[in-house]
Amino acid sequence: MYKLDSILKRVEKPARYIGNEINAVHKDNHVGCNFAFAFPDTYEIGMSYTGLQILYNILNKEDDIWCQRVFAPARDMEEIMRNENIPLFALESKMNVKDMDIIGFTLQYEMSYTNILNMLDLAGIPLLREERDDSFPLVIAGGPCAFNPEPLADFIDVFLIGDGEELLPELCELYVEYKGKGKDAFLGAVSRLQGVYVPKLYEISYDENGFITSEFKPVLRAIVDDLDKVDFPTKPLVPLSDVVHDRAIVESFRGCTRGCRFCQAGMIYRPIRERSKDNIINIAKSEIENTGHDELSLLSLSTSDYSDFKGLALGLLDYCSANNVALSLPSLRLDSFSFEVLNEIQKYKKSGLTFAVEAGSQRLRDVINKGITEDDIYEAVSKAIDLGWRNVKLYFMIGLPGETYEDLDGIANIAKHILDIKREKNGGKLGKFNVTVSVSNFVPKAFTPFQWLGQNTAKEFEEKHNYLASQLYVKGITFNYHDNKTSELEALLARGDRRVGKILLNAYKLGAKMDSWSEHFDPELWHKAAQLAGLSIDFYTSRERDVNEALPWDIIDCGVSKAYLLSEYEKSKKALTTHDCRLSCTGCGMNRYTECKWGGCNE
Amino acid sequence: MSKYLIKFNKLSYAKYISHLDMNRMFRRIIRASGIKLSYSQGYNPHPKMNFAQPLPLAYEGYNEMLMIECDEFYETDFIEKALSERMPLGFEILSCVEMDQDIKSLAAIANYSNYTLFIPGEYTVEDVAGYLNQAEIKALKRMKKTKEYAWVDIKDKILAFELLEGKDEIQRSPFSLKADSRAESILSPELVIQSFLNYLNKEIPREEIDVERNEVALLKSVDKF
Ligand code: SF4
Repeated sequence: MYKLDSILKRVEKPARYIGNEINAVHKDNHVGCNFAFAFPDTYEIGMSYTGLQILYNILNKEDDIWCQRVFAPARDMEEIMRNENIPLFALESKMNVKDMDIIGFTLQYEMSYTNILNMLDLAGIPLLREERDDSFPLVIAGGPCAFNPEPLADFIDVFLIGDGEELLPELCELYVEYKGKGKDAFLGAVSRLQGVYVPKLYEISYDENGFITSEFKPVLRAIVDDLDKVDFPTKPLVPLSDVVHDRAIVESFRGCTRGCRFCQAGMIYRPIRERSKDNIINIAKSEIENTGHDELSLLSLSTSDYSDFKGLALGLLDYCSANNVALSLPSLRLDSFSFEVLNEIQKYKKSGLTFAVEAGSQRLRDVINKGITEDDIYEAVSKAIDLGWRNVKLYFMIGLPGETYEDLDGIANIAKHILDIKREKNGGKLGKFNVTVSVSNFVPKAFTPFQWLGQNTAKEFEEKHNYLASQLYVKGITFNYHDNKTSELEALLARGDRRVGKILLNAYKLGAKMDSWSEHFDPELWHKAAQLAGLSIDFYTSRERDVNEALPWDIIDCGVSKAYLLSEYEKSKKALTTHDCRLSCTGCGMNRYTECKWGGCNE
Repeated sequence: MSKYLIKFNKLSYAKYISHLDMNRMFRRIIRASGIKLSYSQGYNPHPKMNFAQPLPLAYEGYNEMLMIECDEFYETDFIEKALSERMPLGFEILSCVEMDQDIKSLAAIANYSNYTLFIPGEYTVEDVAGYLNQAEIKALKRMKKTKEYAWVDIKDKILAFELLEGKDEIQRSPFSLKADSRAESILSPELVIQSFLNYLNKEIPREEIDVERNEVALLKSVDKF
C-alpha cells in the first residue's frame, strides 16, 4: 500500500487507479474466481464502454466471483511501474493481476492489440500462451474483434464469441469446477460450450502460396435469445474523474437488420432482439436513482428502429423532464416524429444533426445497401434549418468497392447543396452555419458481404483525401478524415490469420504501443515487423480474395450463413439492394439458431 | 429553506479524488438520495453547496465540512443515512446538523486548521524551536494572480507547530501544525514543509511525506438554535 501510495502522488490523474467509484464492488478476494476485466486502453476510454458495466454487474452477482477492473496505465504511470517493479494490479483490491484466476480482455478495436501484450507484460505474464504453465492466470478475450480471433490466437487461451451475458459466468463456473485438474482438462471442457473457441485445439496448415488448407467445424457464436432475461446494470459504476461518456445508458435493442454491406455489427449481432419498453424505462429509472446521473442515453445500432419507438421516446421524455434529466437519443432517423422529439429534448442547446450517408452517389449507396436518398437528407436538413439547427454532420466512407472520383464529387456536392439550402432560406446568406464532412477509410471486415474485397492502399486513400480536401475547401464546410496509415494496420489485424500474431509480437517488441493514439503510431515499425516475420502486409489488406479461398475466420460461425454473405456480395456487384428483414425474412440463416421475433414485424 | 452542515472523513485512496471531482460526486450522491438542492439564480444556475476549504489532492481529511442548501426540509438523520449508504470506499459520513440560516458560506467563517504531517527522518524539539524562532519564515509561494513564484513570510500564519512523540508505521516523524485558515490569510501546509526542510537543509521527495487535515475550526458556531 505504501509503495503504491507514494507512486500515486507522482502521476497525473491518480483517481483513475484507485478503484473506489460509486457502485464499485468490493469483496473478500477468497472467492473461487478472481476475474480481471481488462480493457486494453486508458481508464477514460474503458469506463465509457457499456459492455464493461454489463459484465461487471453480471459476474459480481455471483458470490463466488469477484470481477475487478484493469486498464492500460497512462504513460507516466507505466514508466514508474516499470522502473520500480510494480506489476499490473486490479483497481478494486490492488492485487496483482498475475495472482488472479482469469484475465479477460475486451476486444473493441484492433488498434488496441499491442496494449494487450503490454498489459500482459506489465503483469509479469508471458505473452505466448505456450509459455504459460498452469501457475499463470487463464487469459481469455471476447468482444466484436473476437469474430476474427486468429491474429491473437498465439496469446489468448480462450475466445468467447458472441453475447457474453450467459457464457462468461458459465465459463467462470466451469473454471472453479476444474480447479486443480489442470488447464488442459478445463480447456477441453470449456470448448464444448457454444461460443467458445480454444485456439490450442486447432492446428492451422497452409499451402506453399500461404493459403489456409485446414478445414474445421466452425464455432457457433453464443446467442442471448431474450434480452429481457439477462440483467442490465441498474447500479452502474459512476466514475469520479472525467471520462469520455459519463451518463446513464440503457441498451434498448441489439442487432440491426438494415443490411448495410460494409457493416460488421449489422451481421454479427443478428437477429434483432429488443428489450421491452417497460423494462427499458424501469432500468432507466433505477439507474438514475442509483447514480445521480443527470443525463440518459439509449444504446443500440439505430435508436429509432425500435418497434415502439414513439411509445418509448414519449415514456422516457415524460420521466426525464419530470426529473431534470437530459435525454439524448443518438442516431435517429429523421422523420417527423424524431424531429418533434429532438426539438423537445434539444430545446435550448441544439447539437449537430448527424447523417451517415456513407457514399456520394445513389449507385454506390445501392452497392453498399445503404438505404438513404439525397432527397431524404435535403428534406430533413431543410426542416432542421427551419427549427434552428446550425450544424450538420455528414459521415462518409471512402475506398468502397467500385468507387470512382464521381462518387467523391458526389460527397462534395451533397455538402455544398446543404449550404445552398441554408442560403436560400436565409436571403442568400449563409450566416452561422456549418457542415462537417467526416470521411473514414473503408476496411473490409470479416462476416460482411465485402469480406473478400481488398482494401485501398494508403496511397490510394491519400489521393482521395487530397482530392476531397480540394473539393471541400469551401466556406462553411469542415472536412475531417481518418489517418491512412492506421487503416492499413486495422485491416491487417481485422483480416489476418494466425501468422499475423508474429507481426503483432514483433511490432510490440520493436516498441509499438497505444497505436490507437495516432501520436504514438509508427507505421514503419509495423512494416519492419512484417518483414521480420517473413510476411506481406498486402497479402492481408489490399488483396482481393477468391470466394473459394479459406478465410482465417471460417473457424467461427457468426450465425449468418456464408451463402447469404456471398449472395449479398454478388448483388452488390449489380448494385441491387436488399430490404430490411423487418419487412420479410431475407434468408440470412440466423433463424437456424434462434427465433427471429422481429423478422417480418413490419410486413 | 434549510441549511445543513455535513461532516465527513476522506481517507485512504479516496484522498486521490480531486476537490472538483469530489464536488461532482457529492452532487450526484445528493441527487441520487432524492435530496433536492436549491439553485442559484441567473443565467448559469448552480446547486447551492460549498465546502469549508478545498482539501489538497493526496491529503487525508478528518471532519471535513460540507454545507448544503435545500428548498425543502429533510430530517438530518435521513440525510446522514442516505449519504452514508451511497458514499464510495474511503468516505465516511460523520454527522449532519441543521445550520443557522444566516451563514452564507463556510469558507467565509473558516478560522484555522489542524494538520498532522508525517516526514521521514529524525528531528528534535530544537529543530522546531529554531525554525519557529527565525525573525522571518520565508517560503516560495506561487501567486494566484501572476502565477509566478515569490518569497513570502509565513511566520504569523503558523499558529502552532510541534514535533509529536513516536513514529508512524513506516518510521516517519509526526508533527502537528495549526495553520491560519481565514479567507484573507490562509496558509498552505506545503509552505511549512518546504520552509522547514529548507531551514534544516534537508531534501526529501515530496511523495514520501504525508499530510492529514484533522479539522477546520470556524470563527463561530453554525448550529441552528
Ligand atoms: S433469418 Fe431472416 S428474419 Fe432472421 S435475421 Fe436473418 S434475414 Fe432477418
